[in-house]
Amino acid sequence: MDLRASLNAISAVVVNRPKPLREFDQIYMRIADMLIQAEHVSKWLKDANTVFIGDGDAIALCIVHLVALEQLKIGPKTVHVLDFDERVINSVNRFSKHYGYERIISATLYNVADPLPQQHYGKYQAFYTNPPFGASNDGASIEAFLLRGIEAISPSGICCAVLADYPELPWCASVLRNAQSFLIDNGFVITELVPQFHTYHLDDTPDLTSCSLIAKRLGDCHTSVEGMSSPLPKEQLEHFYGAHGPLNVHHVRDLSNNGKSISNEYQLEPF
Amino acid sequence: MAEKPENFMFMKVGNHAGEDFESIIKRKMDEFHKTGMIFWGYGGNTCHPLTQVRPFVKSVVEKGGMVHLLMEPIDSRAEPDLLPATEYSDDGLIWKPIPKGIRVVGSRYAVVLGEIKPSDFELPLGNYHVGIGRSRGYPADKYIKGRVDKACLSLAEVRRDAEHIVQIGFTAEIIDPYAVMVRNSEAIRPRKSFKF
Repeated sequence: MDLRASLNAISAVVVNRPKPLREFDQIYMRIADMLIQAEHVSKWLKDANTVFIGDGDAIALCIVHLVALEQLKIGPKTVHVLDFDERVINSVNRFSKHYGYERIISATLYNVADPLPQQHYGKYQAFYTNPPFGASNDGASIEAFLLRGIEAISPSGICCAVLADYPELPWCASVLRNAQSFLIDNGFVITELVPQFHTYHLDDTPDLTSCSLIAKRLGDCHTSVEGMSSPLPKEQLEHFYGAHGPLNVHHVRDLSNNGKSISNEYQLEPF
Repeated sequence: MAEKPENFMFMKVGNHAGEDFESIIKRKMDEFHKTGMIFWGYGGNTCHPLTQVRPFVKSVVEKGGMVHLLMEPIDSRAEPDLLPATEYSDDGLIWKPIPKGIRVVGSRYAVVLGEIKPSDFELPLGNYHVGIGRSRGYPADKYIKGRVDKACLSLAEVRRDAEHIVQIGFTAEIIDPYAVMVRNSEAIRPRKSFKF
């Protein structure tokens, strides 16, 4: 890997991203950590049709771009990004079109509160998610993202998840345990966990770290998510971001005309 | 209010948007006498009104408690955009006009207060930790530093009385709707065309 070429590739992805919205806990990984993460998970996603359940960080674009520039030797066969933020969707498709990656990477608007659309159900070999960290709800919001990922993959698929992992904050360990339990209950075995692997652009907790968790689904295991996808229960939406933290925004709409217009930039769309 | 509160919002305060702190307090008290409430504007990347302040205050209020804003006056020269807010929202979806008689300038958020009362007591931040959000459980005396000048705090199990003493100069009860987003409805920011 040529470090300069790789960092410049990440830089091109980063300037294409919309600004993070703190009301949804959108926080961005630091650039060097994005490069390391892209390199790390690309091996697990080798030749896999992969779905990203949310991708504010734009790791999907990083991997695709680095592979196309031959900075990574292996990577996924195709990538589809699902996100509730239309600004993220537009940024992925804009980048994809500009670089001619349309046959490799695409993105569509989707909120994990909704049933997973049928065209995605069981269609992928791997999923990737970096969900809200679940500090205030013991990881319940993480389970929503994992659930949609599990629904989207085949019975022997791979899960790549980024989860908070910071020893100074006691909630991290219980959330991580709950996420692992959820995966195991759904037929996965944890195959790798790289602790304290990433850091973030955060004013208030600049040292906060997250881990990279890889899990593989055992094809012979019957799980609780087989069958049709259903909307998240109303009571789960009421506490999606913790007590008194409901999920009441269905989509973030992009008002910038794909980054070209004078506008208020975005608007929140209710359910 | 108790000088050793269990749950509160802490904020460093001072001059703001070209107005000295004394004038701000006087103007805010006038607003309180006219409207029965105060919108205390703030910004920054901590204490988001919807994901932190409102859930924090609601969780205390539903148990019969109340939450105060504890202000530490400091020498601040914040000079943000002077555009006054014209709308507020407690959910990010429905925006209402700022109540007549209230003026919020140069802020993205506001905590909604009752009467502001002068106070004079020392508060050891070492006794507290962050009470909500991603940093929940993080020691307050380590958290409040640099650009981090506000937090929703709760009494910690491990207390270090002598650590990071702050002098509280004013207090006010946080009242319903507790905290809101504010904006100027006419403000549209020019955005450059995107280029790779």
